[in-house]
Amino acid sequence: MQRSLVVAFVAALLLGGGCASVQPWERGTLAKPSMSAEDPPHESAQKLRTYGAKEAGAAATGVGGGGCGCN
Amino acid sequence: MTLPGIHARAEAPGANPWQLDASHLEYSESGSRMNVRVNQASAVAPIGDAFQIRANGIQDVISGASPQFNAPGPGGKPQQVLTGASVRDRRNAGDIGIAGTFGETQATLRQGWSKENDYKSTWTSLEARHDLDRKNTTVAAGIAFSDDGVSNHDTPDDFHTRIKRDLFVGVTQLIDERSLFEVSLEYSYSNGFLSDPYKLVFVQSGGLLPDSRPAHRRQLAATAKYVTYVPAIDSALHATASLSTDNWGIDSGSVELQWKKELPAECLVSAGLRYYTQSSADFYAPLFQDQPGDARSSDYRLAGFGSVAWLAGVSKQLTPNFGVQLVAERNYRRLGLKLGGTGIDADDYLWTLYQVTLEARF
Repeated sequence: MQRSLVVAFVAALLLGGGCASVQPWERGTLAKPSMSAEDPPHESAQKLRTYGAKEAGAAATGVGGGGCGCN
Repeated sequence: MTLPGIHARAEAPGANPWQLDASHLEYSESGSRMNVRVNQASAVAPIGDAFQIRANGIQDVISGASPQFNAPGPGGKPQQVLTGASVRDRRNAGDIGIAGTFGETQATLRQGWSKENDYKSTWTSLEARHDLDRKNTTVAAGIAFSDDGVSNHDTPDDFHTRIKRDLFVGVTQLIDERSLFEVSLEYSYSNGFLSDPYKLVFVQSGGLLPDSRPAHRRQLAATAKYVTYVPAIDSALHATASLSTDNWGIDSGSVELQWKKELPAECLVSAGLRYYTQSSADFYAPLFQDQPGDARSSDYRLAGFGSVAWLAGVSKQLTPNFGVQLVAERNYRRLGLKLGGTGIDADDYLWTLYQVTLEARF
C-alpha cells in the first residue's frame, strides 16, 4: 500500500501539471471566504489533535504540534 | 499545523496585520468517559512587511474515565473496563515561531513545548512553500522532530523516551477560475517507548499484562482535497480524502465533504459529513487466550473500527477588525464500519466537541 500511495501522489502531480493558468484578474471566485482551502488555525489544530488522539490512522496535513498523553 | 494552501483573499486590514485569536473548546464522550476543556490563544506580530513573530499557548483540563482493558463478561463476551477513579490532568503547551517571506517563498520555523503530569514534549518544525506560475501552483515541504517523555501517575518522574520525525510534501494547483486541487504526502517515523502506560491486556490463562507495542512505527499518509464553487447554489463544496498505512498493520481511510455558503452581513455557514475507517493492529486483540508475544494491546484506538460524523460551523465578521467562529462536531464510532481486522462493539461510543473562536486583525 505504501507504494500505491506514492504512485498516486506522483500521478496527481503529473495530472495537475496539465492545468491551464488562471490569471490574477480571473481569481475573484477563488478569493471568496468559502473557497479557502484552509480551516481557521484554531479549528484545524483542535480537529486534527482530536482525530490523532482517537484514531490510529493519519492524514498528510503538515508537521509540528508535539505529542500528548491523550487517552 | 494546517496544510499550506493558497487563498487569494486580500488581508484586511493591511498586508501584514497584527493577529490575535482566542478560543475555547468543550469535548465530551458518551458513557461517562473523558471530558476535555481547552483554552487557546495565539498572536502574530508583524516585523516590517516580510516577517512575523508567532506565539501560541494552550491549556487542556482533562477529566473523566477512560478504557483500561477488556474483560470477559456474561457468556464470555468482552466488555470494557474503565479506569476506576476519575482522572484529572492539566496540560500546558506553547510554541513560538518566526515566519519570513522571500520573494515567492515563505518559510516558518517553530519551537514548541508541552507538559502534563505524565507526559512532556519538545518539538521543532520547519515548513516552507513556494509559489510558481503567478501562484497557479504552490509547492510546500516540511520537517519536524519531537522528543517526548512518557511516565505515569504512580512514577511521574520516571520518563521513557519517545522520538518522532515527520516529513511532508504537498502541492496546491488552481484548476480553473473556480476550482483548486491539493495533494500531499507525509511520512512519520517514531521510535522508543510507544506503549500506553495505563492500558492493560487480559490473558485468559494468566491475568493482566501491561500494554506493550513495537519500539518502531513507520507511517505513510496521503491526502487529496478538491474545492470548487457551484454557481447554481452559490456555494463552495470541499471534498477531502486521506489514506494511511503503517508497519503495525493499521490501514485507514477517510472522506470528508463540506458545503460552505456565504450569507449577507459577512456570515459564512458550513455543514459536512466525515467517514473514517481503519483496520486493527497486528498485535491487537480484545482478549488474549494464550500468553501473547512481546507486542500486545487491547487499546480501543488500535482496534478495527469506523466512524461517521457531522460537522457544522458559522462565522461572522463583526467589524473589519473582529470576527467570531463557532464549530461543532459529533462523531459516532462503530465496530461495524471497520476496514478490517477485529474489534468489539463494547468499544463503540460517541464524542462531541464545540469550539468558539474570537479573531482580531489590526
